[in-house]
Amino acid sequence: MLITTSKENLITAINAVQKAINPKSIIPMYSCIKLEAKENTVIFTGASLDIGIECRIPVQVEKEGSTLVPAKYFSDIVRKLPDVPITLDLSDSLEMTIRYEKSYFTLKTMEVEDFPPLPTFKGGLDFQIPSETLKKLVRQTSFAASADELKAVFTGLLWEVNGEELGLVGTDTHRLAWGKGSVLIENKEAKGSFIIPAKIATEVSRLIQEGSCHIQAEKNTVFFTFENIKINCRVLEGNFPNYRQVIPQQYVTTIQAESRKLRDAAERISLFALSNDSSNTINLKVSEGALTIHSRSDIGFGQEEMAVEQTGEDLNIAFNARYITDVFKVIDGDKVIIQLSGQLSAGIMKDPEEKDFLYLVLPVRV
Amino acid sequence: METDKIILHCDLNNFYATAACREHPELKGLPLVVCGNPAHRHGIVLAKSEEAKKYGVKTGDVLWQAQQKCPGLVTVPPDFPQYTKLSKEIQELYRTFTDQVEPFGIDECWLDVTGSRHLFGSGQDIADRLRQLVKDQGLTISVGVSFNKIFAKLGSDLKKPDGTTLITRDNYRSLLWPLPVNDMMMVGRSTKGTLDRYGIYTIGQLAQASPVMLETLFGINGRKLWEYANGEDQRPVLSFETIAEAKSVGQGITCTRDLQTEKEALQILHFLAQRVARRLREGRFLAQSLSLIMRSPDLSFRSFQCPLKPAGRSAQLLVDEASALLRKHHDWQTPIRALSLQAGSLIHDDTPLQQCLWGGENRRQQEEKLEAVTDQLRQRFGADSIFRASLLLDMAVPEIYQGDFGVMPGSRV
Repeated sequence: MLITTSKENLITAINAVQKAINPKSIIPMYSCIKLEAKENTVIFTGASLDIGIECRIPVQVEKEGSTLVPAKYFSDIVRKLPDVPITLDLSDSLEMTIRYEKSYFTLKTMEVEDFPPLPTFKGGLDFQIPSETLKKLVRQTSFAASADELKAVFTGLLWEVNGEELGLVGTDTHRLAWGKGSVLIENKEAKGSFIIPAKIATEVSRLIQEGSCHIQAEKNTVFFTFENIKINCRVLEGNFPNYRQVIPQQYVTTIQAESRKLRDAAERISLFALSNDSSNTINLKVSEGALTIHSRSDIGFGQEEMAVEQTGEDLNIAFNARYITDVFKVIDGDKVIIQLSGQLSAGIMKDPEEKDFLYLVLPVRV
Repeated sequence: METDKIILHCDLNNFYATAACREHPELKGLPLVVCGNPAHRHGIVLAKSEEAKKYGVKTGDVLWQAQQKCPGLVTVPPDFPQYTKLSKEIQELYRTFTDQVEPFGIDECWLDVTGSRHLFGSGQDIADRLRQLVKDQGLTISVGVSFNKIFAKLGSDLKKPDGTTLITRDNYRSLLWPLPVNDMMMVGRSTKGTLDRYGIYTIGQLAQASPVMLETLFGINGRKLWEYANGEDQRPVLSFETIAEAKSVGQGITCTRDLQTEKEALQILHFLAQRVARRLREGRFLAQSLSLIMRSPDLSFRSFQCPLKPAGRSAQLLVDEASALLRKHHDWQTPIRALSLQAGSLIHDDTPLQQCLWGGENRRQQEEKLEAVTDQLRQRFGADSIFRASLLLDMAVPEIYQGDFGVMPGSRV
């Protein structure tokens, strides 16, 4: 293998595939990047048990070939190189030489044949999604996913395809975020769902720049293809319990408030909740067109009041302040609607301008 | 300079055995042991009378060993409800002298009488009066009087039965330092083993050892050992109100026969969970974690934990989670001899509780209500007025629990 390319090209590819690599993996090849040069392209591949990422960059290939280099050292060296043409030369099978100007480094390589081939799609759900829609849906739902590996399935996002509609759901069982968008699909009758780690969905949405993403899902693996990148990801085993069932259909109290005001008030009041306990409780009182938020703890007491548009009954309810403020990461509009159906029932938060998004949050029992 | 505290350590002598004689005066003066039922595999000596002690009978002896040492030994089954009742009565007596009474086990208490001297006289006076008052109740105590808890406890060991020992800053070196190091609290078998290797056999040698070396050997506790041996135990006697809140609620049982099947184990889990759940309700606690401890016939044990999310306390919840742990970790290649359940990470039931989707909270709350109602029913109509039908089946639970939670007399083979 003998190629010459720019530092920028190398960094782009390394950054992309490194997300799949675990440098501490006990399986040596999973801490490596595979390089394969052919037909004026170098294919970078990084993989672990659950994910594989392949990134192609156009280069001048003087001699075809492939090798396996330790990801960490390769990436560390490349990052420190000056911004000049760089040559990768696999002169013998045991070492790769990295050359620029009059300097060179050699890196020990590993047996490339050991690297398992990435899986290929054998059939199943097959659709295209505009990058903008993908980014939006992932952003709207991933923040609600759980970080607790004990409940592995909830570290994932549920993707539900129903013809031209794609719904994403993220939940940690205390709150749930749902978003919906349109996809391009040949089979308009197609239906199906899969759960993949929220972290990987976020990674996909970070890597994609423009255009659309081709998504193919079979029983155990989901494939994302866009621009010069291919990602395969193992689905999380298990199912989400029926989430539609937990979304209340009737409300006793609905208020509309100014997003920014509500968020700031909740953040301030949560300062008084912090030391209480882990539930970070703030109390909300809806009464006669006013929303009062208060919390009392060892630190002291805080109360905020704001005018809201209220329909329905007066109501008192308590929430984890963080669950309330979190949603404003994804509600961009000036207004927020809160629908409540009782002290111990889930509350709904929405952007009045955005039909295809819903956030459900369970209260704290006080 | 701050004056020294006056701390008493009161130790009921041969508590179980003396309590038995109190109930059955005809046994007085006989070599006697309190001992579980060997048929239910509880046949070890829990306590012995002074007379049995003379024959070399020791607490922890297996019954046949004790009988070999002392032919004609009288055995009495334990009566824990009576011990608890007596122990509470004695503590009440202590409380007439000071509100700072810290129980340690069922038969020992520390008393801080520093503030009571102008009312009742010196530490020695109070100790002697207490001894007389306890004697009037048909029991005896040995009292250690000192300026810290560790020395008071060591002191109460010196004159048994029915004696007072005063440990002062002037005499502790001569009285306590020659004692073997493992007489001191916190020096258990493994600590003693380590100390032995460094030639530290007495409390005095411990006191004169290098605190730095002890810290290297035992960490922060090494420094504490050194301080304690030198009379620098500053820990206060915790009065009744300030005693640390329960950190866990647990219940275990050695079964009358080894459990061979999941079904049998489940029955025991129900039995244990009912008791744990009732105590959680009484203490107004919710548990956030659960441990299951299994002991095999070879006495080796394994312990497994799981979080309870959301926190709860119904017996059904405990059984559900415990049986899941059991299924996950036990393959029934070996039987189970003893089981215990421990509910931990307790929080008060008025702690704000984040609700959970699909957490089955409604069901759990209904279970808790149901169980609280059955508590009331039992209270009004007797322990066996309502219970789980499965507990009617032949259950490997010792006799002393009969009639409790519907374990019916005669329900066992």
